[in-house]
Amino acid sequence: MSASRSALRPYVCSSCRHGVLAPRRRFSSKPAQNPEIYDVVCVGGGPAGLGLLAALRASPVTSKLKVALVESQDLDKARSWDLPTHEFSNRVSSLTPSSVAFLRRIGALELLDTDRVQDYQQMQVWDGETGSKISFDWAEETSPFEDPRTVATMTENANLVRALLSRIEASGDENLKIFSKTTVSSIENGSDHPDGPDLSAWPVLTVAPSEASPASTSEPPVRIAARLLVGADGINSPVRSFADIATEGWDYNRHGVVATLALSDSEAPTFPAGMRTAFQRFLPALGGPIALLPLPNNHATLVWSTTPEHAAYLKSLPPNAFISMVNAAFRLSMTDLKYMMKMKRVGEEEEVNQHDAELTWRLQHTPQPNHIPPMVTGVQERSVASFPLRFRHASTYISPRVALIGDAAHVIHPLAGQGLNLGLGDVASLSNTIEYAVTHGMDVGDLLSLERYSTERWGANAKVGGVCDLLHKLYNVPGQGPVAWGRSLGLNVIDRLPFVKGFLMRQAEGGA
Amino acid sequence: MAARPSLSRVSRVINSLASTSFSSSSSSSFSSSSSAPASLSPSTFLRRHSSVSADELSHFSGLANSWWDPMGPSRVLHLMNPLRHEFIATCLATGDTSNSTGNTTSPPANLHYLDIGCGGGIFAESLARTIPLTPSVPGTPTRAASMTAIDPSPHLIRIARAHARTDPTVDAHLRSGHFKYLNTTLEELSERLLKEEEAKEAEQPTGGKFDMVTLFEVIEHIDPNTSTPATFLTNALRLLKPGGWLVGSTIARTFPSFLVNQVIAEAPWPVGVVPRGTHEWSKFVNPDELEGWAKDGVRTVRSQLHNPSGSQNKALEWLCCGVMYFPGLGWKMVPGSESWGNYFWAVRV
Amino acid sequence: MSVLARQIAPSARLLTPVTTAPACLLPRHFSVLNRPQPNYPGHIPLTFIERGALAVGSAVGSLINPRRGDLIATLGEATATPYFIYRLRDAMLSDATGRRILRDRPRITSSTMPLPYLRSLPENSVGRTYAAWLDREGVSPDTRSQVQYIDNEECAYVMQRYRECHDFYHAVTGLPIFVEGELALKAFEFLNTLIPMTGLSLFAMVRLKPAERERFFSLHLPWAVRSGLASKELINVYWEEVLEKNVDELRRELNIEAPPDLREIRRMIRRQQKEEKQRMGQQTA
Repeated sequence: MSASRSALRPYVCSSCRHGVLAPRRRFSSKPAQNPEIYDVVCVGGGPAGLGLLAALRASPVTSKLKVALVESQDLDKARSWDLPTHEFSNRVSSLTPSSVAFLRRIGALELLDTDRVQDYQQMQVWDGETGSKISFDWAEETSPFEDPRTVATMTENANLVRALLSRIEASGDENLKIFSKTTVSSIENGSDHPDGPDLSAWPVLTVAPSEASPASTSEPPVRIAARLLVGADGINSPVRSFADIATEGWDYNRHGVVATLALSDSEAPTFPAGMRTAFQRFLPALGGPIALLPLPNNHATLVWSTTPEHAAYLKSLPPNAFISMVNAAFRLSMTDLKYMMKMKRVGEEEEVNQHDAELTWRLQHTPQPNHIPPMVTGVQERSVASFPLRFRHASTYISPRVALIGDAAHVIHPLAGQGLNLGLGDVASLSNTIEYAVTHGMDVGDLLSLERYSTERWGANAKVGGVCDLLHKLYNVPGQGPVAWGRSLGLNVIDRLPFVKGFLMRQAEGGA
Repeated sequence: MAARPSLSRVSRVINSLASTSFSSSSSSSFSSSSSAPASLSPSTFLRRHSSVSADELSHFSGLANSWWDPMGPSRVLHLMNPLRHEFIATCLATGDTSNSTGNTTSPPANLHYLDIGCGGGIFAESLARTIPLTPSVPGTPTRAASMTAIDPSPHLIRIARAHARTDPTVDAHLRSGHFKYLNTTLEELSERLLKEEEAKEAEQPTGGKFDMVTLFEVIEHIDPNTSTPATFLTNALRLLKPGGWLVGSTIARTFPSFLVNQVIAEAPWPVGVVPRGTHEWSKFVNPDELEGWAKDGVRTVRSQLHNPSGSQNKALEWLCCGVMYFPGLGWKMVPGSESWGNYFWAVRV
Repeated sequence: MSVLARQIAPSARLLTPVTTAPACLLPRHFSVLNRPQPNYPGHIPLTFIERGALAVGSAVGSLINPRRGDLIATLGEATATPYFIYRLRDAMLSDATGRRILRDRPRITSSTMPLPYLRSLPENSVGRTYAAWLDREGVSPDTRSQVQYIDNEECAYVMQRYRECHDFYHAVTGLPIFVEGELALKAFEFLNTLIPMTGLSLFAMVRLKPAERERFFSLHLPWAVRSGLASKELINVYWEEVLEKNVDELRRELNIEAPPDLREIRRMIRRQQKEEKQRMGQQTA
């Protein structure tokens, strides 16, 4: 089994190790200089990597560990990220209450720009083919006199990254080294220093500046040895390749189209005031769901999972036509949408918005349910983009002295908005594991110490990823056949069973 | 158990002792005494190492190379190790030794540990890791300032030292002397320390050198023909300063523990978790027996101390907690399960 | 009409048009006491049981008397929901011309299709052929009844359009109005539009004479299957725009084979029978 293979193979007793080269982890031939020894080295400065660093710095038990972060992009840009109030980044994530609780625990929540963050209390999900729907909220479980309970919080990724960087900065400089604009040139096994420690089972990284500059070429590359090497370096993680951990997965042949939109003011005020709703409509004939997630000041972020051809079409539309397509996607039948996706643009000088004309006409003949979002009235310039959707899961998250978190460990379909939350869950679990190891005299990089993390997270993440994959497949079967009938029946039934729905919502919330 | 271990086995032990080449990093006084055993006759050696059972020694020495394999035969020991730290922390919290400040910030790391029968160093190394390298490093609830670990098997000591070098922190403690591995037995160590004390002309007549003595999975492996648990415990208690704790873990000698530890745990793979021959049910010790012996030992030691503070009248503190292994979940402290199998125990001098 | 009368004599109601209905609140799942408002002029909402009874009654009636066009129309409406008429409407929505038809909502009546104009069109044009066919069979565009029993307003138009275009299908395929021709056309329409009534009408085969039935199975049905499956959706043809087009060209565009000319076949058969009789007469004489 590959899990035990990657776990066992690098473990060789010291007498054997000196004689035999381990198959894939390379030995360094001769140490140029002794590498600097760190307790935790995290490769990757995204939300997961920064979250781990912030969590370690925030806890008194682990704050004195010597930690380093290596990130190829410029973290100064992330630190100084700033957008006007009415503009929002198009990479926005939905944070579950347990992720929010984790951020609060490590002291990063108060550093978020809360004016740019939006809670929502209800989620409407329905099937575009059959109309069956389910709505998620905590109304059954809370009293009408309390404030409505939050289902999730929408946060721009850049806002979160900036808050985490501030948290790390607030913990001071001691025992902390951040290598910004730096890439890892190689990862190798260390060597046995005769009048020093035996680092032959330790990963030693050679890091160098990302961009060549006159100053950088004169400096020798820096070598750092890691007691625990954490791979937070994305879907094609080099750390994962070093640890020889295989991944399973496939590409969905779908793209997620994102955009920042402005919504019209709703005619009737919401009750209770300030309540915001997220909307998701499954479009089986078009390849995936369209979701509209609320942002402050009556804005919203769009995530539309569809085929690459449709994604290219949507991105090529002028703003008005794009807006009409988004409005149509929440209201019209599959037949109309398939037709509208093939409509040719008449010409640049054409004033008439054909998509809008189609939308207006068809709305007269398509009965509308009452749980649809408000009409979209504007799209932010240059915010329409797309990214490919994939499913990946590492066969194991740990190897001696290596742990994987975030996208390096798992990539899932965005239809349930769980990707970033799984990453933060990994961070919380790994930081707890490191804390436990430190207080119990365990080597934080030891496989026995890391097993705690793997047990907690591997199964849970596999489950969530698997469920999202199943939902994607279920809701990609077009037409009104038995699959559509079955999934509609299931959705309707669950909507009417409060204890099942509550259970599902608690599972999605995560362990707080 | 044979009445006398065969000479050939004993001579093998002596030869291995003589041919051991120890790491030059050890600065302890052990190197001076390494030549001593080689010149002893087997009978003298046996008298000296009176609590060591020779085939137990060879059994565990044979497991030496796989001692640190996380998936190997010692896996359950590795999994139990964190709970040892927790149990020690519990003892220290109830005892509140040396915490004169009484505030909730981390108490000072000022306890000197002795680990008897350290084997490949699972506990010893983990405790040495918690010794703060610099004053700014926060301590842990075990508050270790130094660790001396002893084991009669030279092969195991060698393995322990080699593994300790794979962690720079532990390696630094090995070099500075805060962490020592000694290939010796309890009796020999006691004699040596006694001689040193006599040499200092009884400046500190109040006794022992160590604040904490640990005895994990040892008491059930001593040779009943040459020593008794009571004697062994008393010898260990003698090395403690007043108010110090003797902490250990062992297995109860009851029918459930027979089933679990002798039948199931030593069954062939995939059911079993330890190699055959690791345990001998007749040598297991029940909690009440152990309590009796330990308390007797404390009384004996107290009566031999010339302590003006009248510690002899202090109540005898005894802690005991059962611990169970759940496959897939690991070890969990289960109070009340002492007579079912493994348990931690502690007694205070 | 009283409730009792309605329940006892559903068939009587088929013959007398109902112009008004009581007001109601629920759009679906209503009872006879609680009928909802009509969605368009002439709409009569039916319960499930009423619709079923209507289907059975009109099926039986049109089998007994295939000349009852109104019963056939009612059968069509009663069996079109829930799936088939929606499928046909979606077929129109998937095509650019079909969408234009749904937007413009053209009707085919004697005023929108003036016969003098059609007769004046070039020889072999669609309009001229249509007019010639109307003259030959002695029918006019106004003989089609209004759709009454389909709830969705847009689908009611689709049904109405289908009904009105039926004569165009006759013109384009050249099939005559007597039973053999009608059945062949119904088979063709079934494969093209999937309207159940067209399929159910094929049960009228039992009314054919044995010789006719044999010709039907060997000649017309294979033609209907070939053309019906191969041709494009006829419902999407904007007839008003193709009136001046050449019929053969249209047939080619639509992938319809020229059907066997039934009148010609019958004339040939009659000639053969006459010759047979003459020969037999000569022999006896």
